Amino acid sequence: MQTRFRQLWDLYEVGMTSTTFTIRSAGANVMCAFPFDRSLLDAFKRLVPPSDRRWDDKLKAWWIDPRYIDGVTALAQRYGYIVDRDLTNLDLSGSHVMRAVFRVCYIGGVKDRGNGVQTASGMDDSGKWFYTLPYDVLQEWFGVRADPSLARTLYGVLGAKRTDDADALKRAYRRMARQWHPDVCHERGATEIFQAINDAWATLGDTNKRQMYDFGLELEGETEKQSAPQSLWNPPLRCGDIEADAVQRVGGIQIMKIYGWNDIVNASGQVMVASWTPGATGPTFSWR
Amino acid sequence: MQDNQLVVVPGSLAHTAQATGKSIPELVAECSIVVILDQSGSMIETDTEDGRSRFDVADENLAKIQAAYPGKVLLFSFSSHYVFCPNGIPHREGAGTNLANVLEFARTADGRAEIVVISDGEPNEPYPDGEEAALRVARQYKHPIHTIFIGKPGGDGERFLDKLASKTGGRRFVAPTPGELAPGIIALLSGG
Repeated sequence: MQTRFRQLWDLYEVGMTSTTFTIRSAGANVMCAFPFDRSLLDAFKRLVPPSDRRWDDKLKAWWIDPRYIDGVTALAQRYGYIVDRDLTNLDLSGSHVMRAVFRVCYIGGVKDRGNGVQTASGMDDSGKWFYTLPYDVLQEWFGVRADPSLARTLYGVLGAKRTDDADALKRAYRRMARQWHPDVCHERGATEIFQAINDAWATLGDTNKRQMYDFGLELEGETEKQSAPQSLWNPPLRCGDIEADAVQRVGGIQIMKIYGWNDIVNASGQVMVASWTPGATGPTFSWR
Repeated sequence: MQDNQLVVVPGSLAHTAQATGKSIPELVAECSIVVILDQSGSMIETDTEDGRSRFDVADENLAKIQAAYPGKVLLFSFSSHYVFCPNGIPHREGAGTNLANVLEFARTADGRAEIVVISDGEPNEPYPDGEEAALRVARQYKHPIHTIFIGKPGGDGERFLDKLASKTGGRRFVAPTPGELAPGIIALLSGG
């Protein structure tokens, strides 16, 4: 896919003029490029909502959902631009769902993109924000969608489910402890999160305490209905080899359903830990 | 004390949760005592030393227990229904006495915390034999159920609680007045 994007960029660069609005396609992805024009840009953004467009800083172009092709064409014409439109490579049949393992090297926080769309962006191994992970897909994988209260329980701290057996819980604890150890994880609050992970394991790793904790969850559910958390829940993992159903969309890959989430492991058997130090311009990666 | 003037008892699970930032379920996991307190109609009796009702004096003593064991007391009150009381204040239902129900619900705590039943009379629910129903559930416990009798000694109520404790290997204590609850529970838990 990267090669096809490069070809697209070459086509764009050849054809661009100060009055040209260029539209190209590569598979199911559609790219728009135009000279900076504040009023046109504002109109473009009003037409194409944030969830359906993505700025590509390397190509200096916008990826848009194919359903806006005619709309942006008409918009450009209204603003007096020559529309250079070539959709011979458009292939919407290629937007079929593909199942594969995607290496997501860093996952940002879930954000509200407008129009009720909430997603997290994922970075590929070239440092490009290439992946879109919808909030509901992440919630479903971590069990939070079916059980919203899970996010604020000790199970949520470990990225585990209440139905996990002892071995699964132990694996979850080890993974989280490895990912959030303050020696290698520089995310905001990593020290506190690491402590919370250890505290959670101290309770859930003990059979008797776990049963009493589960009893406590049942009691809490009987006595009060807590209001839903006001802030968006963020998944507890920052990277992974994610096996999923996905589609090409808006110049990248949108994850549709997750089937597996494994650590990224190098040839020496070390696990990658990704974190973003507050104030840094990008994530850092460590191997443990 | 009037319970409408006290929202959260110091040392209760809710109070400890506020103080420590831990959740109620996390504190339940650390509880070492489960108090099952009778709040049936007979607890309205004002046979205490200062003329207050058994309800009021039991509240006061429970506050002492929770202050002595902060964050360690899991409190249920029961009458015809049982209620979890994380704020440390028993719920006054003032109806019948269904001990079987709450003992069944509290079985998770069997072997994980000391179970103490505080009551003044024989169970009369579920109909027709609340006493046998309670003993049937108690026999499923693998660890002791301790009992504290409140009221005039020598009656059927005391005899039932004696039987309940002995069937499970628990200790028995008599508190003729609710004012002796706190020392009674502390004595039970300390083996005194």
